[in-house]
Amino acid sequence: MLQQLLDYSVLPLILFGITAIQALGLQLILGGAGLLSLGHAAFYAVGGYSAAAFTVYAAPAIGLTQPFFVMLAALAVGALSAMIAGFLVAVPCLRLQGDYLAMATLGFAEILGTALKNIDAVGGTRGFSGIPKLSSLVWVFVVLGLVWLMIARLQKTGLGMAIQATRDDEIAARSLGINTYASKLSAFVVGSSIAGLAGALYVHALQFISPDEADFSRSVIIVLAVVIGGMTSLFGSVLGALILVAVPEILRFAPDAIREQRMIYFALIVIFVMLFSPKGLQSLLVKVLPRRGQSSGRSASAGGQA
Amino acid sequence: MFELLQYIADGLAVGSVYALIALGYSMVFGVLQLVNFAHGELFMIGAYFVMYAISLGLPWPAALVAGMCFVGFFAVIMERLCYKPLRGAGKLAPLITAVGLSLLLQNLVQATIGPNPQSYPAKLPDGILSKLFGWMQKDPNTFTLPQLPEGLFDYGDLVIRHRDVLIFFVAVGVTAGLELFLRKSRPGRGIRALALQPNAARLVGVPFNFTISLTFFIGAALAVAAGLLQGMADNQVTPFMGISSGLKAFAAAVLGGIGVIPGALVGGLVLGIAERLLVGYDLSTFKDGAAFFILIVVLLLRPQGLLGKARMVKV
Amino acid sequence: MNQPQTQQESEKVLLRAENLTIRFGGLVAVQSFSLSVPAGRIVGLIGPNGAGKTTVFNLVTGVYNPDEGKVYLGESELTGRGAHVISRAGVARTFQNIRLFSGLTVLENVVAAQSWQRRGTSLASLLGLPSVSSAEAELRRRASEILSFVGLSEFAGWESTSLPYGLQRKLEIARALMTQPKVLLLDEPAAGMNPTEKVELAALVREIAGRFGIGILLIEHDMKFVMNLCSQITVLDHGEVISVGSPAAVQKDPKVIEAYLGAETPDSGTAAEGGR
Repeated sequence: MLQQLLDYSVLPLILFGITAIQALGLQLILGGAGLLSLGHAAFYAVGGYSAAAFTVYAAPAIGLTQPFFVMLAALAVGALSAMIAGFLVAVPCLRLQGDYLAMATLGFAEILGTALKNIDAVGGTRGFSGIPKLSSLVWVFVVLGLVWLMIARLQKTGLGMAIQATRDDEIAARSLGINTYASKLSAFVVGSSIAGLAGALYVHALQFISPDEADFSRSVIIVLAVVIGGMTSLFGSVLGALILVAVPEILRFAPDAIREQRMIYFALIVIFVMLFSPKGLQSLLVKVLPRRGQSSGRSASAGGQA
Repeated sequence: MFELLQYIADGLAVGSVYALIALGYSMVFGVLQLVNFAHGELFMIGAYFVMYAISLGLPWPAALVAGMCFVGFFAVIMERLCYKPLRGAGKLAPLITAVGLSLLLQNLVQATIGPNPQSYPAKLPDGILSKLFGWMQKDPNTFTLPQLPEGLFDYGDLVIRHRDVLIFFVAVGVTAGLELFLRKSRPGRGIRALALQPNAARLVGVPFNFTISLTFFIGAALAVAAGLLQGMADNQVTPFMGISSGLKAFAAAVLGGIGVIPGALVGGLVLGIAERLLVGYDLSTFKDGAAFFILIVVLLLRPQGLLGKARMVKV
Repeated sequence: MNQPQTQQESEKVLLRAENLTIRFGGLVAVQSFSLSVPAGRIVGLIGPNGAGKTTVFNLVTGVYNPDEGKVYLGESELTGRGAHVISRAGVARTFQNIRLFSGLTVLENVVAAQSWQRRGTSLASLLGLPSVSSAEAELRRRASEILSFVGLSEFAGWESTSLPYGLQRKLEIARALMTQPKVLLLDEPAAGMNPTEKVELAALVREIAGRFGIGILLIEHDMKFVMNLCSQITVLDHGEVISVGSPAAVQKDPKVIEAYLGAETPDSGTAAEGGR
């Protein structure tokens, strides 16, 4: 019984972990740097495809067979290839402002999807299958934990400050010596490479990837995860990923009519979050749960003085 | 040689539909600096509305006007409820809201009507719509589809359908009419004033909220016209038709110079012709990527578009 | 606190603008503007609203590129360099419409100002290497010092935008000081402050100039504030310099009095603000 429950929950948990990693990468770009990328899934797909191609073609060729090291190398390949793709997209696109940037990233993702469909070595429109199963729940959650720690750490460094300053006020940031282009570029490239990690984990867990993973709708799902949970916090992004993966699972037992409409609920939540609680659901949670030390002290003093 | 001319002629018709949608993007962006991501969905809803109205027996001009009013007011309400509260909240919040709206509308239509393409004569889906309007439903066997003109101009190797000529002139006429409206009429000048100098426009008495609503209304009405043309030309309407046409129309608006009315027409036509050329020369797998490729090249080389002017940043 | 210029080099000219001109469309916003700011001196830039004062700041700090003319800091030319390059060279500024980083705390606002100087590459800071940590501890220490210098220590953990208006202006100054400037441009620093705050601010500005030898260029509408503080004043009207000289000389200049149309003398500060 317990074993059954475990088996049943492994796949949703893996999907949750992978969505959470994707969301953390986008959180750095969207919440951290304030750039709306509508092509995040494309970098995820680049990472997934490259990692899969590495495991299937390159690893045997260079004699790497030990599964642990193959997976490790595949992760590196995934992150690096997505990082390069992110760099190539970002260098021209980051010269654009807000809405134009969103459209340009979307456009690049569509072009990339079109390209993947036309590459026969990785299966074309049929997708890339026959990838060895090297990743597991443990891999996914270890990577998720490391990524979380890394971004949390990054936010407190000079680079993190520069990224957030650029997000809040670009003109002021430049007047203080911050190279705003470089900060946006760093956020975008690091965020993309994190998406690549998620892609590498995905292909080695599900042993398959298709060009649909680069789709606009996949990118929108990641945006939803980040926005629903709360753009400005890492916890919010993971929470958002949890909601996006858990709700369909819970609705599995609900009538079809309700289950199939989940995108409607997600879309409604996004609109309501933007209108009424721009900091996302995590801010509601924070309000409900007892406050932790410093933050409550700070707000108390703020209330007293203002 | 005739081949090339043929592709251009075909492309003009496709591009005209893009242009009609692009006008809405362009106007809204001109006034609010917002990409109304849900604009493609207005086009889709318009196409459905008009198709059902015609299938229920309304003459097509009446169906078109009814659709324009319905979708127009829908867009106005959408703006009031979802965009207006976010004015002054930065650029990111309205943009994300717009993406959310787009998603919501696609899925709402899919939920009520179903994911499959509909064609003339369309039967109302079971459920609330047929309960409300079922009595109007006619026997499909007696239904005659109001056709776009089917004739051809035949010049030997070059064949041009009447329908394409009609679509092209509708687009040109609408663009010219819109430009005239914006330059000569009082509310039209209000829209232009708001786009140029929002604060100054308010000071001299341009009714701010009314003018924005008007902008959304006109944009939506034009999208409905595009929806009718597209629906009749392809005889097919789907819940997701707004995504690709919407995105391409946005690309067209940017290409021509967003906020510039004739720019939308030029951008739409260029894009339509480019697409047809790719299909004609056996590169149709790259057709969907082409719009974005052009979009990105234009954004990088000439962000203000073909007919646009660069703007100054204020500190 | 780090002191970029410890010894008194008061007569050394730091910032020099020569014949700056910029046009927006057909409008000449600033015409042949020249000015110099010596180390340790406070120079005033006044004029009716819309005279082009903030545009001058934008030209000097690289937000706009001048159509004609040049900007020098010491011997090096800054014209046409990026805003962040000019800032790194030693020109800092505050903004008329306060531009704080709303997502960061008061302390972080100041730390962010020096974030680009943090040692180590992005990779090192991603991995959280020890060298990065110590460099950052040092940055925080300096930021705290500057906060206490301007009197904002107790607010270090606050959200920056929850500060009262007057303190937000001080925070902008603190942030600018963190970049270790040679020249500091203050755009209406006393706007919205009450008389007590203005007195404190004047003392602070004097100390910045006197103790650290920083040259200060000041835009301000409060004439009493400007006249008491500045050793030299440039008056701008319709984008052109109409008068340069000591506070006393400028006040007597008929051209200046005429420029402040409706005001009897430039002394009655607020009239200038209401004038246009």
